[in-house]
Amino acid sequence: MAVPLDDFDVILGNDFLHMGSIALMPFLRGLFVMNKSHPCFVPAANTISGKESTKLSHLSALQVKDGLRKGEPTFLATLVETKACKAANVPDMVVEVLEGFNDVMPAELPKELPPQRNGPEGVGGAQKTVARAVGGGIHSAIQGPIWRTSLVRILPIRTSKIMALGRHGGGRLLEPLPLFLKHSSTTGLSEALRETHKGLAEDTPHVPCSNRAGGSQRLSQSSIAPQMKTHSTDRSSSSDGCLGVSFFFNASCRTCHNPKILFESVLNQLKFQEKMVPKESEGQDHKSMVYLIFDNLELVRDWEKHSVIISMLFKLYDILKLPEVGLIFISNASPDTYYTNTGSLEPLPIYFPDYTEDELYQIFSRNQENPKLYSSFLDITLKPFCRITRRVDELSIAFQSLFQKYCEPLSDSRIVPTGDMKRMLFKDLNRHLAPSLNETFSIPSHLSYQEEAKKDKVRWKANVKNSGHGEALDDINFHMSVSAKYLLISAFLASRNRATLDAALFDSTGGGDNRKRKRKISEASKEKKETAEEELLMKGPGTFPLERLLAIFQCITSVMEDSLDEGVQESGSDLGAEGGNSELMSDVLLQLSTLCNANFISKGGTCPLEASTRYRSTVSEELALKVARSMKFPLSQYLYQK
Amino acid sequence: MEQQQTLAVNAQIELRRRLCDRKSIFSIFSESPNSNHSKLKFIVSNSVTEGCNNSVLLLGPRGCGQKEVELRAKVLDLVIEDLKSEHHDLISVVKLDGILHSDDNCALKEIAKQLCLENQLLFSKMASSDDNSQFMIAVLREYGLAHKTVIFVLDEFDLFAQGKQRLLYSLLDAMQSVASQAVVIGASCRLDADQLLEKRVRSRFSHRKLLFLPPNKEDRKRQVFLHSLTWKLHCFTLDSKFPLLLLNIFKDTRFMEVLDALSDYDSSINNLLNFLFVAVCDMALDTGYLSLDNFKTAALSIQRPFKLEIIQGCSILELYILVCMKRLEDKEQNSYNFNSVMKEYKGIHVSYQIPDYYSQNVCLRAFEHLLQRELICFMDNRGHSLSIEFRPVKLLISSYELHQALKSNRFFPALLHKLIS
Repeated sequence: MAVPLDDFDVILGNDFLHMGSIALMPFLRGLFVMNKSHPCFVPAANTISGKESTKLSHLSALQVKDGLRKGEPTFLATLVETKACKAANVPDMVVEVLEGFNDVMPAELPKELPPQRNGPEGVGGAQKTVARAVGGGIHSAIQGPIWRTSLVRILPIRTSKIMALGRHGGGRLLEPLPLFLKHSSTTGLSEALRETHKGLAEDTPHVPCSNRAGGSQRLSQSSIAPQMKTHSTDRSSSSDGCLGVSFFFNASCRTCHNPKILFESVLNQLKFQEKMVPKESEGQDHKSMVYLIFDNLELVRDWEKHSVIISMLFKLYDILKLPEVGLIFISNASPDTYYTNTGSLEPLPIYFPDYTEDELYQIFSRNQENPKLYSSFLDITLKPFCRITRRVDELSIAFQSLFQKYCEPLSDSRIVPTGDMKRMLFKDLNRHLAPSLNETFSIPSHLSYQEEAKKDKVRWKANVKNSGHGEALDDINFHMSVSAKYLLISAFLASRNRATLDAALFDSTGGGDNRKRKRKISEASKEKKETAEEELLMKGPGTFPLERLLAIFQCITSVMEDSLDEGVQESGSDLGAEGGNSELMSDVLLQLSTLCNANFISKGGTCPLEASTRYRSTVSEELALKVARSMKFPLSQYLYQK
Repeated sequence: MEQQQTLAVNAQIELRRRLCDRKSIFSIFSESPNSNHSKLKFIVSNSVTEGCNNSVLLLGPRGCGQKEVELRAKVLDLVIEDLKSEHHDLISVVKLDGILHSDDNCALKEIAKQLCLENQLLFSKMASSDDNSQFMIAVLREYGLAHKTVIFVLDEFDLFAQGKQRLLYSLLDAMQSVASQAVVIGASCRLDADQLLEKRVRSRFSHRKLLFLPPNKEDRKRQVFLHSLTWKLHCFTLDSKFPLLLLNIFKDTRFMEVLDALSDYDSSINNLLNFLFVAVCDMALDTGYLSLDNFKTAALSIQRPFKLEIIQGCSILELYILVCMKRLEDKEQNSYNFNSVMKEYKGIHVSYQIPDYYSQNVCLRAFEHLLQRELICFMDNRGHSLSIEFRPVKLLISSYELHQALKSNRFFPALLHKLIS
């Protein structure tokens, strides 16, 4: 049963009754307020019949919901005591609503409720102001000066590109063609868009891309376009009187995993906007723009049925046939990598190229506390680093630690460097430069900073004397248990050596030392060796079953035990290594899974004949040698082809 | 001054609007009597007046970026509009798009929906596809009795020919069995679209095909061009010099060179219009004139050598890796991976003592960058369990592009060039 809400002067919720400790007394036609401070009785009157009714009219939550669904005007009223520094309790749900619309309510409430249905004064008027605020924030989105200047301020290097974007992108009164923005990673485009969205988010409640799996509404491809069309037309027909409002809808293909979610997110955003901004009446010349932005388009190519989706996206312009809708595709890959087999309009390409060295210089020297010092630092470092990579994110990580080292000899970081000091600093930094060029990331050591610095210095002196060239550190800088190390070595051996050689390398006594290899170097064997080398390079380390790994593990541990025993006996100490073998063997499977997780050993495919999992060691030879050295294990003796 | 600027802005808006309104531009083609436009019109109007069924295929090739299909669709629109204006209530149009309605049930639903809309009937969402197809046949019969014509426009016709082709069959079959007046117009960019049809469908299809080829006459295109830009130029109140100036530019031989270069690359009209659009966007707003430079930069931005630009964005190390891969390819090594590239790189370092010699993990990172830039890619999709350095890769650029890119930047080491020549 639906009850028109006009019948009610006020609707009291259960929570209100709870809080006010109110009892309904239908036979007395009133409410009894059993509040401790003000107990009272409130008589109620039925206004419809004109005389006092026999009972109160009630409205259930279901009825309200029904009315809402049918779009009947519904108002939510709460009584809040307005005293400064006193917070009122409202239910959690209401808090969300209130927060979402906290700028909707005008400072002064209107004296009366708005007339029914038409008339955008009351609540509608408030929404209109919101709309105007939204419009003011982003109306100029692409064409307007506010956005552009702010964007240019954020990304000064990209001025020309932003201008081009603005010119091609349309804006109010201008009809856009689809744009295709091609960028390589970290070229500022994502920043540009993020800034636009920040602008959006400040002015209007944020619209998240909802990725509900089982939405109430199933979308097939056929229904998307008409829906988009209706929503977009709705959107563009409802424009603000004085401003050409632009709306941006962003759909990142990274967050959406299939077309359904992608389009749903676009539609949801459109619908949300529609709710936010009321439809305006006719008689306006200004069109407002709707921009649909498809981000990370290159990921679509990995989706199922990608060719259809991409051709549909490119064809949206023709399908919608709306001059008010601008389409922007953003992609990492160039447009010629998208093959569509349909007759769609080709979007206009705008290319955001990589930063050049000068641009990088400008970017890094911005927002620095001590620009002079930093620019002297950049003079030294930027050039060599630019030869490796021109990506801002990687460079900034490398520069961060290097700059710390650069500043180390200085007592005051605000100092302005002179020529002499620069030279001194340069000399200081130079020894750090070569190693940092050669590393992609560094693991922070557990040692305290100063200690490490000291160690560093000592080591560097030695190193500089020895080789003069950055060499990898001798010890591994992370902890590994003994058995894990053995396991790593045996996995490495199992991957490198052929299974047929195992018997020769590890005989029954486990001695690796007494083997003798005789090799005749002939042309044939040389060739063989070359092809084998080639194969190693191409195919990578071989795979091995678990049994072989365990066998090798047992062999090398027993060898090491023996040698350890000898060593112990020679030195005369009574540290027994009895039972060490079994200890090492005990948790080997656990260790193996740890190594797998650490990606030192990878699980390969199953062998079709044996139907057992095969493993593969993925550690480099250097690391294996390092580990062996830390164990004093003669690894090179066991490696074939060495 | 300010007034002039607003005038210029208005002019720009007007020009943009005109360039986006492609329908009016394509209407020029209807003028010539021998064109596809008139042929199509003849076919359709024939079936309207004579009361018979018909089916036509419009085919347009789509080479590298040629969008003549677009033209085809536009011609179709024009024809339908023309006919509608001639025979007011006698025609209703049902439009389907292969991208959206390739599913048979979905397409039937859409047909029923559009027919309902046309005849002010209530469309039920709940109707099954059987109901819908029965409804369609009933409507066709009624139309036949009332001597009204339905035109089914199937865009991206080849996509309808996937699967069982139930829709095509039921449509064409209904046309044969029921006394109706219907025209099925298929449009596709696959020239062999009619070969995709099943036997039972093909036998019901009248094999009329209209081929749309890109205009090869230079003067005709220029006609479109001038038409779109100068058409009704007098109607807005900019400096009267404007059309005159444009005409001067159009006559300039340098401009013609730019245009020729553009049409060598892609001779479709849409490409031309895109080019004009960019040029108009770049118009200097303080003077309000289109200069030759505008057109030149527009031509450059329309036909970008993307690969070249991407290579130019590479760092020196990434270039070294590319060069190494190129060298491996020259050695006719049929498959190679990161490790073999590294071996080559080491070899180069040994023989030339290059200053840019870095450790393996730095190189691996650069290698990953190249993968991201799509200058190289993995040979196959197998072997996901292998780490990147062992998976075989291939180059996605030609040696010419690499040479060009290396030449174009003087900061790139000369050695790189030497290594691949």
